[in-house]
Amino acid sequence: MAGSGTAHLRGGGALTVEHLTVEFPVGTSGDKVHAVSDVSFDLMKGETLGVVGESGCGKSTTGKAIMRVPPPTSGSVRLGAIDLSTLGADQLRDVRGRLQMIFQDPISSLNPRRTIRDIVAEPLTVRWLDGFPRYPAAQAWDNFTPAMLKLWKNKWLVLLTKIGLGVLLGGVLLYVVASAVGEPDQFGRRDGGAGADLANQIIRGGGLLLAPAAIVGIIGSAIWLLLVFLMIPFKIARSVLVAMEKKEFAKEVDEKVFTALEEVGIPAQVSMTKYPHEFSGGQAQRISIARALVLDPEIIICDEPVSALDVSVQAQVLNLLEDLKASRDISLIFIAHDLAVVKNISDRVVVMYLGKVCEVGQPDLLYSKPRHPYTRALMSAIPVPDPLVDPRSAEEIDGELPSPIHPPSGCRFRTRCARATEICSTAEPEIAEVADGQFVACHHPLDEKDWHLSERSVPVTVSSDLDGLLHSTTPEAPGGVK
Amino acid sequence: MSEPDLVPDSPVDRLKVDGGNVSSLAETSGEPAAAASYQAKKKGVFFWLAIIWLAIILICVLFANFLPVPEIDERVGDIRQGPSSENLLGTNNLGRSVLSQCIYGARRSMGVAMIATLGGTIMGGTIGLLAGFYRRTIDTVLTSIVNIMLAIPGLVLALALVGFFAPSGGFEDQRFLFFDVSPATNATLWTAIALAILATPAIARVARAQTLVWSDREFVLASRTIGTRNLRIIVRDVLPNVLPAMASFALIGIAALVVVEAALAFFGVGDVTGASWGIAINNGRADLEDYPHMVLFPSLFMFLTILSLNYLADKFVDLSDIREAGV
Repeated sequence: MAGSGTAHLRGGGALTVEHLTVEFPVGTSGDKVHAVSDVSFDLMKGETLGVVGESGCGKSTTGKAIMRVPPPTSGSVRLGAIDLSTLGADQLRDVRGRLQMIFQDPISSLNPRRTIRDIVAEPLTVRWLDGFPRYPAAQAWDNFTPAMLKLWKNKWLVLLTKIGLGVLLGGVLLYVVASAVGEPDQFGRRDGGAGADLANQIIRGGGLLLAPAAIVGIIGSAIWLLLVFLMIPFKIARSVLVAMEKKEFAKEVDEKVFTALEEVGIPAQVSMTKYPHEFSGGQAQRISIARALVLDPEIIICDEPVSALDVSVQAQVLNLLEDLKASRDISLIFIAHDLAVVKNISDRVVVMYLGKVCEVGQPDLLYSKPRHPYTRALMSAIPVPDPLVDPRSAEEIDGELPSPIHPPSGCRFRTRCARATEICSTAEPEIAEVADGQFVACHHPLDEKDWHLSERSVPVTVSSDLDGLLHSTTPEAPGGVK
Repeated sequence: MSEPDLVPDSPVDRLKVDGGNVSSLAETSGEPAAAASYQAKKKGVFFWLAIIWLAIILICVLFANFLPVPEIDERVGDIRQGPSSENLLGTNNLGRSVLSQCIYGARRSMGVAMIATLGGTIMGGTIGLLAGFYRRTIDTVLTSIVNIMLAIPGLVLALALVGFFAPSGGFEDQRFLFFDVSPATNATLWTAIALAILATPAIARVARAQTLVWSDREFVLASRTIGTRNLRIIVRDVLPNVLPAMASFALIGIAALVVVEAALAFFGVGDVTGASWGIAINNGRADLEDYPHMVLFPSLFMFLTILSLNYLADKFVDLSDIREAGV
C-alpha cells in the first residue's frame, strides 16, 4: 500500500496537504520513527474529510503536523493560497485563527485551574495581547536568541571546541605521566622535566583553541543577562498599559464567549465562572468546540473528538459538529478510528496505514466497494447490529503493525497482505484513480469478485420465519449513531 | 439510597451496591451525598485555631519588643528552672526566660526560614519549569546543575557560603547590596540566602517532575495551536498546576530549614548572638533528660507553626474548589 503520489488532489481546496512527512529521532542512534511519510490530501470548502486507520498509523500526527505542533519534517500545508511552512512566527500566529483543533480527551484539553470563561476566551486574549507592541528588549531577545543558538551550533566552533578539549586532556595526561616518572628532589617533589614543560605548552595551546567558544559563551550569556534585566521595567510598563484597557476588552470578550457557549448548547449564564471538573465529558468536549469557534475558523481539525465519550453523547457532539458545519460553513477534518462514525459524517475518507495513504474515496464506495485489501479488512471489522451475523466472519489481518522505525520496503502493508507478491516488496505503489472519485495505492487492487467478502451477509441456514422475525427489530444502518 | 427498591437488606449487600464505599454505611440516616460534600467545605475549628496561632506568631515577630516579657539577655532567675508562675516556661542554661527565647526566636527562625523558602521556591521553581517545559538541551544543562548542587553536602555548602560572605566578628560597615547593615543582620541575611540555595535543588526536582507531567496535557497542546507564547503557557497553564505540589513541599521544607539555621549557629557561623528557636533547642539538647522544658517549648512553637502552615495550605486548596476532573 504505502501510497505516495498526488493523483487524488483536486486543486483549489480550502486546505491542501502535499507530501507531508513527520519523523521523530529515536535516541542517539540516528534512527527515526517514520510517523507520517509522504501523505497528501486536500479538503474542499464545506467538506468533511474523514481520516481512518488503526492506532499508530499516524492519523493524529498528521492532524498535529497541519497545526505545526510540532511542524512537519517536510512537505507543504497550504491554507487557501498560503503555505504555512513559509510563514514567520508572527504571521503564523495570525493564520492560526483560521485553523483550529479539537482533541481526543475532553477533560484533559481544559486547564483544571481556569474558569470556563477564561478557557474559551483564551484565543481572543492571546490575539488581543499580540495587538500590543512588543517592547524593544523582548524584540532584541527574539532576534538575538536564534542568532546565538546558530552561532553555538556552528560546526567550526564545535569542531574547534572538540579539538581543544582533546588537546587539553592530552596535555594534562602528559603532565601527569611526565611528573610521575620524573626524579624526586630533596623535598620529595617530582620534576617532570622536559615532558612537563611540553605538556604545559600543549595545555596552553588547548586553552587557546577553547578560547573562541569561551568568548562566545561569556559574551552571549552577558547579553542574555542584560536583556533579562532590561525586560523587567518594560514588562511592568506593558502590564500597566494592558491593565488600563483590560476592562473594556473583558466586556467585549464576555459577549463573544457567551455567544460561543450558547451556540454549543452550554448554559453560558451559569457556566462562565465554573471550572472544568464540574462538567461531564460531553459538555467538556462542547466547551472545547466553543473555544475553537470563538475565533471564527474556516477549518476545524477534530482529533478523535468522540472516542472518549459515551455513545449517546457521541451523537450529541457529532450532531453539533454537523450543525456548526452547516451554519458557519466550516470544513472539518475528522480523525477517528470508529469507522461507523466516519462513514456517517464524512464526504470523503482517507484510509491510512503506517504513515501512508491506502485509499481515498466517498465513504459509501469505500464501504461497499473497497479496492484496497486493508480497507476491506477495516470495513469488515465494523460491528453489524444483527444477531444473525457471526462476528467471527469479520476478515482478520494477520500479524502486528510493523515498527515505524524500520517500515517494510515497497508497499508498507505487504507484510500482512494476503495478495502480496514480488513487486510489492520492491516498488512502492502510486495512488491511482480506479473508479470515479476512488483512488487506491495498491499493485493488486480488489475488483468486483472480491467484494462479496466484505458484505457480511446473513447465513442461509436460518429458517425464513426466524429470519424475518429478527430482522423486523434490527436497526437499519450499521452503527447508527445519528 | 433515595430509591427504596434499591436498598438492600443486609449491610454486606449495601456495601456491594455502593461499590465497597464504606463511608456510605455510616450515613444510614439517608443524608444525600451532595450535602455531605458541601459540609466538607466548611472551614472547621482547626482552621481558625491555625489562623489564631499564626496571628500570635506574627505578633511575636513584629512586636516582640513591646510584649510584657523579659528581654532575651536578661537573667530572670536560677538556671534550668522548670515552669513556674514567675517564669511561665522556665529558664534556660543561662537563667534566661525560655518564653522570651521562644518569642524573640520566632523573629529570626521564621524570618530566615520564610526568606529561604521563598527564595528557594522562586529559584527552584524557575529552574524546574524551564527544564521540564523546554526539555532537550535546556533540561540537560539545568538538571546537571541541580545534580551538582545536590551532590555537595548541604550543611557544608551553607557553612562555606555563610562563612565566606558573613564571617563572624566582621567589620562594622558591612553592606548588603546598597544597604548598610550590622554584622548580625548581615550574617542572618546571608544565612537566609545560603539556605535558599540549599532548598533550590529539591524544589527544582519537584517542579520539573510535575512540569513534565502537566506540559504533556492536551490543554497545553491546545494553547500551542492557538498560538500562545511559551512564557504565557508556562505562567498560565503549567505553573498553576505545578504550584500546589511545590508549595506543599516547600512548607515541609520550612521545618527542615529552621533546624538547619540552628545547626549553622551551633557551628558558629551566622549570627550566633541573638535568639532563635533552633539555638534555643540546641542549648537545651545537652540537658534533655533532666530539663526537657528547654527543648520542649521552643520545639512546640516550631511544631505548631509548621503544622498550622501545612494545614492552612491544604485547606486553601480545598476551599478554592479546584479539583482534577475525575474522568
